[in-house]
Amino acid sequence: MTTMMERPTPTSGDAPKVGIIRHLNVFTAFAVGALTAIIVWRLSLALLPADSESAPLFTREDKITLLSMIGWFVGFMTGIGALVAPFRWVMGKDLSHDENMFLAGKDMGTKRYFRYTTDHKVVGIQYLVITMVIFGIGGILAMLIRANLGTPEGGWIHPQAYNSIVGTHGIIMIVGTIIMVTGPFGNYIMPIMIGARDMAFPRLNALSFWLIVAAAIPLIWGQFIGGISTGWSAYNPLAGQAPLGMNGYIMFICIFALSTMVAGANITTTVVRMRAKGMTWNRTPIFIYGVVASVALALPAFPVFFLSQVMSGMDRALGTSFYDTARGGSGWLYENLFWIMGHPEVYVILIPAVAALMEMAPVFTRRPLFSFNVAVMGIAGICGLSVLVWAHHMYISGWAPLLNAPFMLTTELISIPTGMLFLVLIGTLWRGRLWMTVPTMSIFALLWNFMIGGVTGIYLSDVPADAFLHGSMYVTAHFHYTLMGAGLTGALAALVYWFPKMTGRMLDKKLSWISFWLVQIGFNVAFIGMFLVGLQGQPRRVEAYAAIFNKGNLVTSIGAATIMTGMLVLLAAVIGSWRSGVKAPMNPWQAKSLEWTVPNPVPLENFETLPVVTEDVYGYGRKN
Amino acid sequence: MNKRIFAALATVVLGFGVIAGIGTYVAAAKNDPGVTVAEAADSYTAPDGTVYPQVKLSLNVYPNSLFGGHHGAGGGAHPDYVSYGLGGPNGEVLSDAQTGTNFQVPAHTAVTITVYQYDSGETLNNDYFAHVRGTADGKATFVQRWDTKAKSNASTEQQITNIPADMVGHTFTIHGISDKKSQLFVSVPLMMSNDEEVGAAEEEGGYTQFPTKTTFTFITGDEGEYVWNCEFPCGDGTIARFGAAMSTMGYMSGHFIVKG
Repeated sequence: MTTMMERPTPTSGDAPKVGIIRHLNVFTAFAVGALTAIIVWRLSLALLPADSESAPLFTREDKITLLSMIGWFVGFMTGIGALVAPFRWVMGKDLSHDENMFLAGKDMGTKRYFRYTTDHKVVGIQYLVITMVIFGIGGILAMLIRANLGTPEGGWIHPQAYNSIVGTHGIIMIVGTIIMVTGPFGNYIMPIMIGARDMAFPRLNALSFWLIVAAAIPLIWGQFIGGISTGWSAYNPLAGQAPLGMNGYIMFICIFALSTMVAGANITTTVVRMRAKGMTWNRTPIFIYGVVASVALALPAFPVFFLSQVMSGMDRALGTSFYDTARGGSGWLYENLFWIMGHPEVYVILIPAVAALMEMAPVFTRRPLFSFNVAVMGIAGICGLSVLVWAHHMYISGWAPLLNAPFMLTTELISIPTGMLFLVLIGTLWRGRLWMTVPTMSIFALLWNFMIGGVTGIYLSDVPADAFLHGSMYVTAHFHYTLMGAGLTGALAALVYWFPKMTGRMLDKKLSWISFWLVQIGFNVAFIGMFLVGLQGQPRRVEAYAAIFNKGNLVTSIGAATIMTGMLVLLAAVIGSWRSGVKAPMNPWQAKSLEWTVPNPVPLENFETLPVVTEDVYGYGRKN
Repeated sequence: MNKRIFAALATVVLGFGVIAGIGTYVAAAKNDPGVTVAEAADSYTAPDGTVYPQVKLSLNVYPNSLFGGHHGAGGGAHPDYVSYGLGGPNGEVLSDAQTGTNFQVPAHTAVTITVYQYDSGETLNNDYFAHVRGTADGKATFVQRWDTKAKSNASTEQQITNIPADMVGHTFTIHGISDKKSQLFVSVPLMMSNDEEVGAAEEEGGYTQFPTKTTFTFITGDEGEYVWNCEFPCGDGTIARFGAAMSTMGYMSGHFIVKG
């Protein structure tokens, strides 16, 4: 049988008919989510049988916790309005024209930021704000870690709370860095940059954002029921033995993975299908390549992460034994699933950040991008190799020692395409007429930080060196140099660069410079100190340490406080400039890409007439 | 001063204030049970004839946390967790003791610990921990039934070097590595109490009248802080039962400080 769906038709009359959607927003979402969680919790308490004394596993509390969190999730998504359209489809209908306009946030002012709004620009701003909130929380947790490590004895925070803070800091910062470029700029800027009116699937776009908000609550919830004491990787069977808070981690990752999958499919489809006429792949900006590469890597990686957590939840709540060696499972299974996501994920973070800087380099040097093809090949090479390196995290685990050498080789090979991206950036800067802005300086900062992060990574990729360095603060310093020193530097440069288009205001110049230097100096002080104590042998994830590591830790804590100061200055700059900054011209950087051809504020449908691309986007200084 | 610079300074001050506030809250919420300093006793003569000053500790192991003690009235956050607690000299339940799992003893001293074990038991995963290890004479003194009302042995006292691996209630195990250079490894298995008596007493809201009693002595070295814990997987819940009480400090684990 075939069901015919009704075609949405514009409604006549003055008052738009939007039904229940009008009443749904973030407040109803929280209310319905909380209510559903409470109802499910009470029902579970009443209906689930008690664990018997003879049972080999005790899982009732885990069942109740997970069911309540699922209740929250379903309730929240219902309350925000995510299920309205699917419900209509089930009934053989679709949203009306008025409803679609309402969802797009037409004439709704600031209220649209608190609703299930589909306009990509609103979603981009929502992502920007939530990214800042995530970094704020992660930063606070980082400062608590550093405060506890202020003296070798530790002890300011209870060891278990400390473990949970370390784990939560880790996972929240990973999520923050994953979305920091593709979220705000991939959503706001990318569709305009390719000459599209919106994303391919606007409702999926809204869904991907609100899934992240829904995911945050189980993670916070988990902090109050035992925390996440396993570190961000949540290795099993350790996670299987962890307190109830671990269920918060499981739910958080499952929902976040859904968000990433949805966003990945949406962004990929948008770029492949909706580029402006004349925007051939050779004329597509390198930032677009970076965003697509990022989500293309995430698309296969995050379902695996999702699956790993489903199995973890089943081990806890249903008594399965995927990771329980004593009952036929394997801890290595978890390690493999985790790192099959975990290493491509590093490049999910890095590639769009580096691509953003490659996008800016021609603008601020007034030169074409040096070897566009090499840049594309570099990105493609990283993507290809990054799915073949995951087991370098497991050299010392005892899993398949014969595979150590092949994984060492692939890991070291990835330096080559990474070097290509360095070459493109340096080549673009070479003999360029530098316009010294924060984005320009960020390119130099990235080259410096990424060089240290990359070179120290080569040592870690080497099996004999890794046997010594594994599990030490050296590893922590290394990945902070790559994810923060390179990734976050690129994202902050992107914020300065695209802030005028996203807000219609210029970001305060003086404060952004102050912030830049505080963050960069603080960062290098903090993590060079961490490298030193790591080389001396200080293990990571410890709440107390031997007195010989005191000086290095003190240096790191001073650096961390400097970073925090710089980030707070940036926060002040963003809030102040957004509220009352200097109004931005349409194209303050005199750039050639399409987003700078639309007025501020950007109209709902971006372009009055869809653009046709006729020239190289990096044709600075060329006669076209 | 430029208005925007002032706003930035205010944001920095406010930001660090928020961090300090959250940190203070988290630090205050740690609910650390504090440290019990062992009581001095008569000197101890080791098997090799060396005479050491001696200190003593008396501990109880309960099948739940309802005894109160350092967990608070009603058993605190997890009344169903098995737990160590400070006990009286004859195994009395000390429901008002403010400390329970962190202990401090002097360096180069004989430490005699008596544990009254009120819980039942099962089989160890690793029978290595069914053996007495690291005590001064390689043994422990064991009483199968200690009468807490009569305050006397209700069964014969015996010297043991190990117990059956399928009759272990809990263990008291000090991990060998400290935060300094000194090392101290001690592990003593604690025999389970009678299953039926434990269950019957629990149903009445109390503890068995006849816990097992184990006494052992070891010699401390230089100063250092160690972690001790139970090596019997007694944390109800999740894989291998090393979760819950087993993964929460203050129940089946704590700090053992050698100082002074």
